[in-house]
Amino acid sequence: MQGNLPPEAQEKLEQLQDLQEKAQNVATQKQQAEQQLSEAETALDALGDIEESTTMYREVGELLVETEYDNAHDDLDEKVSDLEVRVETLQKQEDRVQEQFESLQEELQDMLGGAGGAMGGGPGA
Amino acid sequence: MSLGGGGQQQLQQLSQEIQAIEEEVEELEADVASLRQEQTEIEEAKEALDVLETGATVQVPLGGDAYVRAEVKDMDEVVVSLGGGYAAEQDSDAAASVLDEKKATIDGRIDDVQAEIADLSEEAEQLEQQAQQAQQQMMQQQMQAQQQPQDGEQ
Repeated sequence: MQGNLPPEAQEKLEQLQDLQEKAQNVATQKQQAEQQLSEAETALDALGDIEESTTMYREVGELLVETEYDNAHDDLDEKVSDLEVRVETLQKQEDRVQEQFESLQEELQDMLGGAGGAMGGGPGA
Repeated sequence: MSLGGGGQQQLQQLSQEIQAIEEEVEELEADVASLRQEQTEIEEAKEALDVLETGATVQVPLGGDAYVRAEVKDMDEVVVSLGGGYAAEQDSDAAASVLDEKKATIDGRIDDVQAEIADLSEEAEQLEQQAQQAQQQMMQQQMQAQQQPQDGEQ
C-alpha cells in the first residue's frame, strides 16, 4: 500500500507512525502515574482518619516493616507531590506529541494533494 | 481494473482503527476482570473478619496445599494495607471499614473502565458503518466502471 507513495511522503508516514508509538508510550506512562497518584492520595486520606499513635508498617517486598506515623505521612506527602509533577510533565509531553502529530499529518495530506482524508484522527486513536 | 486507490486506502485505515480499538477493549476487559478479582479477595477478607475472634483456631496456608494450625492472638490487631506502600494496625471494625472504602474505590474504577469500553465500542460501531459505506461506494464505482464500456459498445 505504502509502496506507491513518493519517498518524502513515505518518510513522513514513518515519522507519523513513530509519533503514534511515542504517544501510546506516553499515554501508558501517564495512566500508570495517575493510578499511583490516586493510590497515594487515598492512602494519605486514610492516614488522616487514623490516630497518630497507630502502629504503622511500610511494605518492603513481601515484608511489613514497622515505621512511625510521621514518617509514613511525610513519605506519602512527598510521593503525592512528586507524582503530581510527573503527571503534569507527561501531560505536557502528550500535548506536544499531539501537536507534532497533527502538523505532520497536515504536511502529509498537503503532499498527497488532500487525498489522505482517511488518516487517523490523532496519535491516541 | 483497479479499485479507487483512495477508497481502498480509506478501508485499510478504517480496518486498522477498528482492530486497534478491539485490542484496547480486550485489554480494558482484562482490567475489569482483575479488579473484580480484587473485590472478591476483599469480600473474603471481610468474611474472615466477621467469622474470626480472639483465640480462634485457624489453618494457615504454607503454600502447596500444606497448612499449619495456629491460634488468633488478638483480633484487635488487624494489619490492613492503606495503599501507597503503607499499612496500619487496626481493630477489626476499623479494618472492615478500610476494606469497604477499598471496595468502593474499586467499584468506581470498574465503572470508569466500563464507561471507557462503552465509548470505544460505540466508536468501533461507527467506524464499522463507515467501512460498510466505503465498501458499498467502491462496489458501485466498480459496477459503473464495468457498465461504461458496455454502454459504449451498443
